[in-house]
Amino acid sequence: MKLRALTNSLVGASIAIAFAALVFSMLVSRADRVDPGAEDADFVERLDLAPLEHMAVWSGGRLRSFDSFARARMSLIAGPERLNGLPPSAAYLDLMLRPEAYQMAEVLYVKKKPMRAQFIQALAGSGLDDPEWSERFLETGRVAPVMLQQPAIADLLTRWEMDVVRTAKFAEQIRAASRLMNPQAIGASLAVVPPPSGDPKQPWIPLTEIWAPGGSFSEPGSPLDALDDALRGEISASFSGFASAWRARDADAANTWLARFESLLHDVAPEVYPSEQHMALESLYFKASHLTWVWLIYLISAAMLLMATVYKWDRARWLGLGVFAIAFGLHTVALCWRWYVAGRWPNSNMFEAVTTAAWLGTAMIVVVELLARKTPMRNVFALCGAVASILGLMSAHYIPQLDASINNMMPILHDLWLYIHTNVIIASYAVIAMAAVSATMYLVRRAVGGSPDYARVGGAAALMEAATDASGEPARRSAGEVLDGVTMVLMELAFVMLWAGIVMGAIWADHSWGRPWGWDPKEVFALNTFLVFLILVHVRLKVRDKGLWTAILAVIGFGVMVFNWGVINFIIAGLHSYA
Amino acid sequence: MAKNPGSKTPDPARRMSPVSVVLDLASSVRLGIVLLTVLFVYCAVGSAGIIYPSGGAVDFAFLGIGFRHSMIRQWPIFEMTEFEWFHTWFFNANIALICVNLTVATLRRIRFNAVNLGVWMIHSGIIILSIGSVIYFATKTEGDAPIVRRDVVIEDEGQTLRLPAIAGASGELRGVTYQVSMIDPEWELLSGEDTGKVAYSVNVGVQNELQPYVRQLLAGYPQYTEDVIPGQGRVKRIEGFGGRALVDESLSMRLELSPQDRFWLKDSSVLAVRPAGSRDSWAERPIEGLPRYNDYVDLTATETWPAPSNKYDKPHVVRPLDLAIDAGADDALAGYDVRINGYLRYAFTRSRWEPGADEINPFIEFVVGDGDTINEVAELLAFDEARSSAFSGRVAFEWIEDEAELAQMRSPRRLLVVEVAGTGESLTIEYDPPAGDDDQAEPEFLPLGDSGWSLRVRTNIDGLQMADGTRVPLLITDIRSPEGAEFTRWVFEDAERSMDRHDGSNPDDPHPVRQPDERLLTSYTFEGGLSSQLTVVAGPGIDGVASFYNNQGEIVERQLALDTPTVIIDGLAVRLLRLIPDAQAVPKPQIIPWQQRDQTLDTMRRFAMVRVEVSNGEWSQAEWIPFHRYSFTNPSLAVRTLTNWAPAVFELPDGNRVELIFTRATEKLPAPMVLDEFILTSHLGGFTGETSSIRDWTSVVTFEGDDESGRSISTNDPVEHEGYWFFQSMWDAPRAPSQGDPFGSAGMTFTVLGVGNRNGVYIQLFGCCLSVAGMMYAFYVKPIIKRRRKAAVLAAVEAGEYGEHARARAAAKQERVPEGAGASS
Repeated sequence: MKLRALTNSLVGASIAIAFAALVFSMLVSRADRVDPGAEDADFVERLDLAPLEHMAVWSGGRLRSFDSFARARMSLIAGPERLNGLPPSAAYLDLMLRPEAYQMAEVLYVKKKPMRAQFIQALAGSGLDDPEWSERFLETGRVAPVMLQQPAIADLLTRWEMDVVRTAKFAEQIRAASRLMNPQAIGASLAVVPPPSGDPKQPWIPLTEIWAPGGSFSEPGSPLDALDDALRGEISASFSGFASAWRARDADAANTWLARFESLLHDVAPEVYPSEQHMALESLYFKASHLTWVWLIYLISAAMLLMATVYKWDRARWLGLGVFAIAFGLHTVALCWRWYVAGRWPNSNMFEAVTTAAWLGTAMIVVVELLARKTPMRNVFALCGAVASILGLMSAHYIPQLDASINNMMPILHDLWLYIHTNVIIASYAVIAMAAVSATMYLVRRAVGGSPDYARVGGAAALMEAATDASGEPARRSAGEVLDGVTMVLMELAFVMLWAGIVMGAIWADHSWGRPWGWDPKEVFALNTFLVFLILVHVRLKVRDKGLWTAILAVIGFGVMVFNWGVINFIIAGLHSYA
Repeated sequence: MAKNPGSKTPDPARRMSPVSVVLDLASSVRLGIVLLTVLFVYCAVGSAGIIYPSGGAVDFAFLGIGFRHSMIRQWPIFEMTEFEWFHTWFFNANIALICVNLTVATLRRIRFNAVNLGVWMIHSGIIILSIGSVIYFATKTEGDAPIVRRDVVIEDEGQTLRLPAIAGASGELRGVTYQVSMIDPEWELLSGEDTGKVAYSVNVGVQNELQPYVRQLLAGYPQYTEDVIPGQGRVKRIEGFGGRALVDESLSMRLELSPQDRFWLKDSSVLAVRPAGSRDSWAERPIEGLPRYNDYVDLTATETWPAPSNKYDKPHVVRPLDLAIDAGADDALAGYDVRINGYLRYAFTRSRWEPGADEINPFIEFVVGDGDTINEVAELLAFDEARSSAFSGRVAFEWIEDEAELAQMRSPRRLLVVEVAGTGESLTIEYDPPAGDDDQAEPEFLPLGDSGWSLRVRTNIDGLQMADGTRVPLLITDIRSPEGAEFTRWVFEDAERSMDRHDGSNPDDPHPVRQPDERLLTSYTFEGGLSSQLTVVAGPGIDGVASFYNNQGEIVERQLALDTPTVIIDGLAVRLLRLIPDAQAVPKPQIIPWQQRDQTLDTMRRFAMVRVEVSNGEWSQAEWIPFHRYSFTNPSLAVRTLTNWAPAVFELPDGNRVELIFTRATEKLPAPMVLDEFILTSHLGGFTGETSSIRDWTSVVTFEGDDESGRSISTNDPVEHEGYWFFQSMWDAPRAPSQGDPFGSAGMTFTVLGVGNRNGVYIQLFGCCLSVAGMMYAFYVKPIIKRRRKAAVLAAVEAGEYGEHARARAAAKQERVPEGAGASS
């Protein structure tokens, strides 16, 4: 027995170490790398871009940190990978200050791989279809702006634009990237000077009002006319100095001028300038990849909890719950961090819906796990919560359609029911995902020959029974009973919340769109998800193999929910397409 | 839904009776499961359609697999909107059967007690929700109403003209034309104690014979009304008006609120009829059975233009259609047979040049390009100056009547006559441009006798494109004056266009381009030649079709063949598509390939059209009519952002003219309403034109006869009036001037409110709340009740109230889990 325990310990420790190494390597790989090329390496290394982290840029009706704004823009221009290894804010400035360096450089990002293949196909026989380039392009998706001028590519883009249903958006993405990297467009996008009047209803002033590649200039009727001449001159001179130093690759001078420029911007209208702390936290939030990598920590906890469940290994249980608590803590930090940066509870776009749903589900699972601590179902809830959070956070981390940028909410979302209806619905979706985890485990168990057990006491009643044996330990139940019981507890929660959420949505729709129910696809598929659980409840009454049918229908319900969130949202767009 | 534990086994004879068989079936849980499954499938395919893998053209790809999507409810056999799909007899019957099953099962199988209260509440709630939904959907009326912010009311000599305050709206009163030219929704007042306040400003252009002017009206500030004369400024500052603010003080012009008394029903279709040119309300003829998603044309080939080739990767099938449109009332088409025999979901009327004109009107269509990837189509009319050339005048089409004309084209004549005014000294130069290279030595100046003037021809441009699209020949000359000044003169055939161009580098000469020096007269005559770099010619004077290309002075002539590329020079090829000597413009619908359709405009039926045929047995007329979102009585309201506006006019055999539009049905609002104000609130930094900068829209409205005025309607904050709810739906967004919309707009001139009733909504809400409460009871209260009861029984057993035998059995049972709690029960 001792040997077996030792083996188990070694296996567990090895897995834990492997996961820790994986986390460390992934975090390191995401750290800021500077690899701009030999001639620029020294310049970039000595650059101090800290002022950009608390400099504000006005865009889309809100203030963002320069760093986060540049990060979003560079993602549109050059894709998710860094351009020449430069931090996004430095790359964005470099595109504006040294445009000549990028004319022939592979900068523009073509996101879809099939589209990259069509690019290469279009260039076949033109003399530009160098195999080395083709391979590199397929891998990186980046193409030089001059390539868009090639007749074959121009023709290809025109053909894409003709198909507004399927391909026009890809052509528009490439053209938009090309427009966005224009130095004038970059200057015009950088509205960094607050309105001198300090009026929050006045627009902020773009860089192009104080600086141009040929030197500073003043247009009559500029919004800066209201600004004190001396301050205006200093602002203009400091950015010009910064631009000159940047072009001359004089890092020390550039650092000095940038710090000066950033400090002067505060003086224009201190009453409307956001706090340094707010901007810095926003920059850091995006630099830290919005903490969606916490899925890795959930993964470690899931591995531990799985071992605890399968091997009944108490140490793994405590270790797993500990790591789960750390993951949930970090998840909570991520949520609150975004809440603070956005100035509102994060539940108004797909990224926020998925990450907040995962958090709400996990928060509920913490409560349920506490309630179930004396039952045979303990550990399994936390395991389900960890797996559902892995799915949610991985989706947010890797699926580009889940845009993490923070924007103003559409007017229709400014309503108390957004917070009630949306959170209840997304929490129910999270619980549905968790129920699908235990259901899948049940199905796997049955697939490998497990007995057709099911929970004699279903749902919340099982928790209330607090089935313990005489010694106070959880009563012994078969794995089938435990997994089926967990599915039923979660299914009950999802059942009530989903129906209540649908009703709340109808109340909101009634006073927002003029009708409680409009049969739009998002509504219908929320109802369809509920119908699956309604069928589950009644099927369980009639069939002999209750555990099997419960598990099958729980997984189907999860599938319908994912279909609603994925296919309906992104392909069969309805009125809810913004959420 | 536990089986009633107290129920007895039914008597076999009773069980066999037809009534009990029906009741057993109606209370069957299995039937309920089947009905719910059918409902699930029906909802899924109706809402999302079907998605299937495809090896050919795909709608989207996932994990490298291509998929096609098909919306079943839009198939020709259904042609249903979402609302219609979810109100078919099948759907209604399914819901009704679920309700019957629920009711009978609840009454027969579930005893009403504290334990089963939750299930009773859930089932009752669902049935109440269904009853509420029947009331709600059976009486549902839903639509929208656009309301203009102000009308301009003009009164002159007892006559009145009312124009909506929308840029471009115009009308005529007593021979004077009035047009709303500009609206500034946030005009800052600069006068008196109101300085700094913001008002709604409307400018109205007054086009009279004596003195055209613009009158500015400010809502709420009639005292600040004043006139502006274009180019001169405000009237009160112009001498001669004696400090008056108005050009004509007898002309009364003011802003009034614009009442709206109707709303347009969602997804409805009618033909609206009225006498042509009338401003009366439209008579509406409902269209029953009009399709929505597929194309229906009797003879596709003759009724529509063919779709561009290779644009469809889904087969495009059209079907016949014949709908009789009955007269609902005695309208302007009473007595005539009105039918709809064509419907196109997404098309627009396009004119193409076809043979058949009574007069010669040469038209040519050809492709010009590099013969490979670059190909542009030119459609040119020889006799229409504005359309006889393309690509900035570099390509042109000419019609050659005889061989002499052709010869002139091959050998053009450029004749310049120069005369020193008043001296009789003159010079005639026949200019022949040097061929080919750029290294020609500059020609010598030719003196004009002893006058001191001398001149040389520098170059020629035989087809200089003017701003109006026409091409004119030009000769560029260098001139030396007797004073020694040297300048360039551009000599046109039309002397009015000629000009002198002096050296612009002289700072003391602010006008380097000026009228020709009158001391030296020049005239230019150009005969024959090529007016463009590439000229395509046809006509009686030439065999077939030929092209002439000016290759740096050398004329390259080629014969063109139909549908075969002809190489003109390296990298330039021409392919002749059509030549029509007697071309006429023929309008027909052009179906837009589905890939190029805008989803939003499609949903709004912006490009839908019907073919309407009016006949009386001996006479008939058919027209394609586009969908009009709104049937305004006054066409001035028909701004492009709101609706199409192209009524079809039918010339009836009795001499009457009738106009028809394809539009939506209207209903009376419970009371006429006006838009007092429209307020746009924005996020930080104000409204930038981007939607993301908008925080909210607020329409401030007043209903006629309502005690409360100025009620605010904004997003998520509707207003109720006499059973109808009013919602913020659309707004007038700013738009830049464009072709067809020369004024553009600063926006905010109108709002569109959603209008709808909601009978039965509180019954629905009650049902929903009851079911939610029931679920919570069944899942979380019922187990507590059962646990307490069980504990009480166990305590009693423990106390020996049921005897020793019972206690022994209970002790044995402790080892097993009790049955019957939670959702599994």
